[in-house]
Amino acid sequence: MLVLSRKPNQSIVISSDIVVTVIEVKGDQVRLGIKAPREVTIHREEVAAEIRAANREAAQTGPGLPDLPVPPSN
Amino acid sequence: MNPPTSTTTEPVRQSTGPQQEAARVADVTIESSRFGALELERSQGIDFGPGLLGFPESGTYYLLDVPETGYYAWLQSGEEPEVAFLVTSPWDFFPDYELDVPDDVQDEISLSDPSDAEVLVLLTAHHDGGATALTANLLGPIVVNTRTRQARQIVLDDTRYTTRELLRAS
Repeated sequence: MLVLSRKPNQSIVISSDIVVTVIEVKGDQVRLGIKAPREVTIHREEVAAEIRAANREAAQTGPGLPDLPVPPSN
Repeated sequence: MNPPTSTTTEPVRQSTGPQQEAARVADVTIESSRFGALELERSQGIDFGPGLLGFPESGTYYLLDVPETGYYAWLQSGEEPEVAFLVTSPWDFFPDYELDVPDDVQDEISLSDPSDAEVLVLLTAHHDGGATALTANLLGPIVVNTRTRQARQIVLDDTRYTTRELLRAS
């Protein structure tokens, strides 16, 4: 793993087309700005991990399902 | 799945039932683990680009209505026969649900007209003794451009929602 030190308004460049800039450091929080080509997907790691786990669990569903619920009538 | 309020115009789905529309020609067969051999049209596939998180091998899915329920469909992977997800439209069960489709996702699926968008959420069955509860992933919805047949799963930045919201029955 590469470890770099940066100050606010300084950036790192990844593979020439991704730029990560430290916008603000406040207490234990760092605000980052990320410029990347639109095909590059960026997620907060813990949220992406949660969705990945939820997808894997959802894929275990079926086919033998009981009566599927009908939505409440509005 | 297509309540009267739906604005969907395109027939995005095929049926797992026996009655296929006669004019269509099946040109792809999926030996699915849930439904057996599915004869489908490649042109009806939905392009998911890099796929769903955790399922990078599946870039194409077919939407198969669950017969007679009206609210449910399966997203069957075109590449992995054992991969399928039960889905529903969120608003039938969660009328207040809101989501913002990020600009980059709109670009990726060529979505310019909101009436082309169909939103689906993945469902998970939880078996507890004899009872089964379904939960919906409202944090990671799927947006389909019904015109171009492109779709993406969005990861919402919204703390109101979780990946397992209970589906309430009537």
